[in-house]
Order: sequence, then structure tokens, then C-alpha cells
Amino acid sequence: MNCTDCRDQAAAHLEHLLDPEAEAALDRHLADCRECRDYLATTALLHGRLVARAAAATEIALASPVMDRIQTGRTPHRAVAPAARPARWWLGLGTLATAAAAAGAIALLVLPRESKAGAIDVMNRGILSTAQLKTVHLQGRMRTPPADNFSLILPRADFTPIELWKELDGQKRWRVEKPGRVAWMDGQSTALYRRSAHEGSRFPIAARSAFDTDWLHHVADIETTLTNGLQMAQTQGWKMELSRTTDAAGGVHQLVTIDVPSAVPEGDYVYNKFLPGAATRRCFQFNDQSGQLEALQIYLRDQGDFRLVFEATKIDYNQPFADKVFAPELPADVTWSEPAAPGTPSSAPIDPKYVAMTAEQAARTFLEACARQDWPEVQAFWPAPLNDRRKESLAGITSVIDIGQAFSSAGYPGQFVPYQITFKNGATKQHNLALKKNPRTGTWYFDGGL
Amino acid sequence: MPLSDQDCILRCRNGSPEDYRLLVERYQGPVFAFVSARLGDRTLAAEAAEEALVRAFFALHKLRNPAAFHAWLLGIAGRVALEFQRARFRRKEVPAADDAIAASASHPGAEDDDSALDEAIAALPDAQRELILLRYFQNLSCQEIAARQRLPLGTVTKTLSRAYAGLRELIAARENQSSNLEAIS
Repeated sequence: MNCTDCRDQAAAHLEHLLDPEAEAALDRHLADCRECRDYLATTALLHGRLVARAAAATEIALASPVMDRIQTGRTPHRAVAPAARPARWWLGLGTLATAAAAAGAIALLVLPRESKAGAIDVMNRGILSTAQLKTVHLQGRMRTPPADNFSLILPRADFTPIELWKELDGQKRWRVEKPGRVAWMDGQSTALYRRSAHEGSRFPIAARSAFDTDWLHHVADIETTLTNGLQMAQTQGWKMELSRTTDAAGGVHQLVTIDVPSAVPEGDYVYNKFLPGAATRRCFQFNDQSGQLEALQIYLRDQGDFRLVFEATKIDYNQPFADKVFAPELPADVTWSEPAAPGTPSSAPIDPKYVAMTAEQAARTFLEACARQDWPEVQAFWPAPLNDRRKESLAGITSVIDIGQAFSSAGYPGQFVPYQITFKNGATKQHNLALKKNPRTGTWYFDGGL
Repeated sequence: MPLSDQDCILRCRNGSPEDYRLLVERYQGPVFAFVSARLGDRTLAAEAAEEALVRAFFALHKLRNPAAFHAWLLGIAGRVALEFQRARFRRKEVPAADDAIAASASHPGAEDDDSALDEAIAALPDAQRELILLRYFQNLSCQEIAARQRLPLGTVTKTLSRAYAGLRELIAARENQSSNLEAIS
């Protein structure tokens, strides 16, 4: 045992979790190494210091009071002598009177006086109609690549069809589909299937959303969308407007427009690249009779320009869904993986050279391994078991021309590495590889950008 | 795998304030310990910690680097603790001058103050900080952490060991800096 191994076992030693053999090996090293003896002694003091620090916080439970203040829109107040707090304005599925009062409070925030009645009407009808919903089936189109991430926007691309089936009660099963991929939750597990690669990812929990489909769930969950929009209007400066329009046939429609600011600064690499977090204008149109959502458009806002990037073309409510909706038909040869375990499985030994790599080194090693078809090395960076289809597509890379300096983004918990590569057909590609660190192994894994 | 701080913050900014609950549960212990050491009163500290967590939510749109949420939150908590101390002084509960209050709130050295440790925890890499918070502030055993995070027990203990090493370095660097400043002044 060397000093590094010894110090890596400090926690296991302090917690008495080493097996007798490992403890004996540690003891032998400590007998010969005064520095490590001192190190473990001072680490034990640090452990005590942490215990003492945390003891002060025993049994503290602030989630309920904090979330209550946030959800009721109560602004921060001065300590000890708080100012009078504003009235509750949270929109819930309570009584009509509560909803009306809530909507009235918001109308005061953003509407001219003459619009108040209409705003109250929209809110009441929307809330009451949502309360009766069992299912939503939303068909729409989006400017996104057919097979890529569900939230990726390509503002200049053609529209791709996208569809959502969502249960609002019971098991709350759901399915989201576009031509190249389908994600679903069947009440027990959540999965994603990527058609072109015959790859699937699944995990054994019933997730309320997954695989970058959150934004679509949100727009289909009108009650949450409206209440969150109202809340964000007050707390985070979102702009929200309510109005009424009449179509050519004389039909009356209620419109709710929410301007959502970008979650990342302008100039950031992911600025306006993904629907969640993009600067958008979201326009909800409600039926004047039923109060239900009947149309939805999302526009990307970019320096005063508005570009339609998503629209719901058909929305059906309370359709009964057959069980097969939540069990998509798949080919027999799908390669499945657990998304919680990207890269090398935890049971396999991890080569320390991968742990020590910088993002740039990882990008170069990965792309060069693709070029020479060194599949064991490619697998070290690939977040799922490599199948033949995937190998075939990666084998198209023939050489790495350049690797640039890695950079980060406020909207992405990983690193981007610029690269330039050549393909078998002579074409070159210059783009940014997205790499994330696997918290289990400490190694980088591929997360997009090829 | 639980959501990262960055994921939670992005979800909040995207219009899902309910996702702030996970951040509250993750940081209520460290924030409470931090303000409690400055105020010396559990009831007042609970109010101050609540206030700091609420203010942080309302200021989320100003947070430039979501990865530094913990350190940013402690900055807010420090200011809130100072306000609470001043308010208490104005009510003459504490016979101290404003300057002394400010000094005691912003400098370590009070009997149970360990802000060097708080700041060091905030500066750890995400994975290491997460384990320190789970092990100490949520009082989970290493085995419970391994089950909850779906990590091998050996990975948990090794990451904790590296977190200890990181804390030692960060605390030593801070204490060196403090002694240099004292020497200059």
C-alpha cells in the first residue's frame, strides 16, 4: 500500500468499513509512515469538526415554510419587523371564489383595468376544465431534428411532427414521440428508444418526465403551466398578458401570452438552442365555451425577431388510451442500457488514465479511437453498450484534424470541446463535442455533438 | 440519480418553482448551521435560514454560475444574519455596537463559528460536496448513501476520503490567507 491508497481509505477506516485484511494492510503502512499517521489523525479531527457543525442543524426542516412562501408569492421581508405581506394569490384547484380572487390579483399585475373580467373568466374556466381532465393527446410540430434530443431547436429547420399522450390521473403514464425516437413511462419504468441506432435506455422508476421531454409535459399540464407562469411573473419578472380575440366566424378565444426569459446569458453557447431555457413567447389559446386549451404556439425570441418553433396542431382531451400506447412496438434486437450508469459499468475496473484526462484529452482520445475503430476504447466514453449499428456510424470518422480548448456553459453541467474531423467520404466536420463526467467513475462520457 | 444543483436551478428558471424544494432540502442544514453560528439563537437562526433560502429563490435569475449555488447561498445567508443581528441590536436585545456586530458576523472566531469549514464545503467539487452534505447534514451512513445514490460502497468512501483531503487543503489555504492579512494589518 502506498500513501495515496492509504489516504483514499481514510473514510472507510474512520467509519470502520474496511474488511480485516484491508485494515491489516493499512495498519502495516501506518506502522512505517509517520506522515500518514498524522494525516489520519488530523482527518479524524476534521470528521469531528463536521459532526459538530452538522449537529447544529439537527432536525431543521425548512422545506415547507420556504416553499409555502415561494408558492404564495410572499416576497422576502425584513427580519424581525416584517412589513405587511401581500395577500395570497396562488392559483390552486380550490373553490371558484379562491380562483377568482387569485386571477384578479394577477389581472392587477399585468392587465389594463378593462381586461380584468376577461382574465378572471379565462383563469376560472381554464382551472375548472383542467380539474376534469383525465388524459391529454397533443399532436404538434416543432423545428427540431427528427432523431435528436426532444428539446433541441433548429430555428431554420423544417417542422418535424411530435406527439404526446399523457394521463393526468391514475398511473400518470405518458409517451412522447417524434420520427427518430420515442420515450415513454408505463407506470413501472421509463424508457427511450432511438430508432436509427436500435439503442434503448430504461430505468425501473415511474418518472413524471424524462429524456428532455419536461417542456412538453409542462405545456400539456395547463394548470401547472398557468400557476407557474403567474408565479414567475411575480417573482422572476416574466411578462404575462391576457386578452380576448374573435375569429372570422365570430368565435371568441381567450389568449394567455407568457414571455419566458432565457435561463442562460445571451452569448452562452446553449443560448436559445434548447426549448427549456430559451427566450420564448408562449401563446395559449383557450376555447371561450369550454375553457379548454385549443391551440398553443411557442415562438423563439431573438433580438426582437419572433420565429415559430413549436405549435400544437390538435389537442384531444379525455380520450381513452389503450395499454399498447405505453408499450411501443420495438424490434427484437434493441441494445438496452441503464442511463444511470454511463460509461464503464461500476463493477468493471476503471483505467486510471481515463479518470486523469482533461476534457480535451478525452475528446481527442475518443475521436481517435473512433477513427482507428478501437471499440474497447470508444466504449470507455460511450454512455451505452455499443452495438453494430452504432459502430458502423462511428466508423465513418477517419481522422482528427484539430481539438480546441474546452469551454463551459451556464446551461450545461459538462464541458464542450471544439473539434474538426474528417469522414470516409472526404467531408470534414467542425463542431463541439459535449462531454459529461460520470460521478460514479470520474471519467468523461460522450453526451452529444457528433 | 438526484438532480444536480444546476439542473434544479435551470428547472426553476424554466418555470418549475417546485424543483427548488430539492435545493432547500439539500442546503437547509448547512445554511442553518452557518447562520446559527452567527446568531447563537436557534429560533432566530431558523427564521434567518428560511429568509435566506426564500431570498435566494427570488434572486435566482441573478445567479450567473449555477455551479456555485452553495457559495452564493452562503453569501446571502451571511447578509441575512447580519440584518437579523442589527435588528436584534436595535431592539436592544444585544448590548453591542453596530461595528462589533458587523465584525462578529463577517469574521470567524466566535466560539462556535466555523465559517472556514462552511466555505470549504461550498468550494468542493459537486460530487464530493454532495456526499459531505448527505453524510453529515442529512446524517446518512455510507451504506445508506451508497443505496440512495446507487453507487458502490467503495466509491462512496473513496469520494468521501477525497472530500476530506479537499477540505483540508481549502481550510489551510483560507487560514494562511487570514494569517497573511493579519500580518499586513
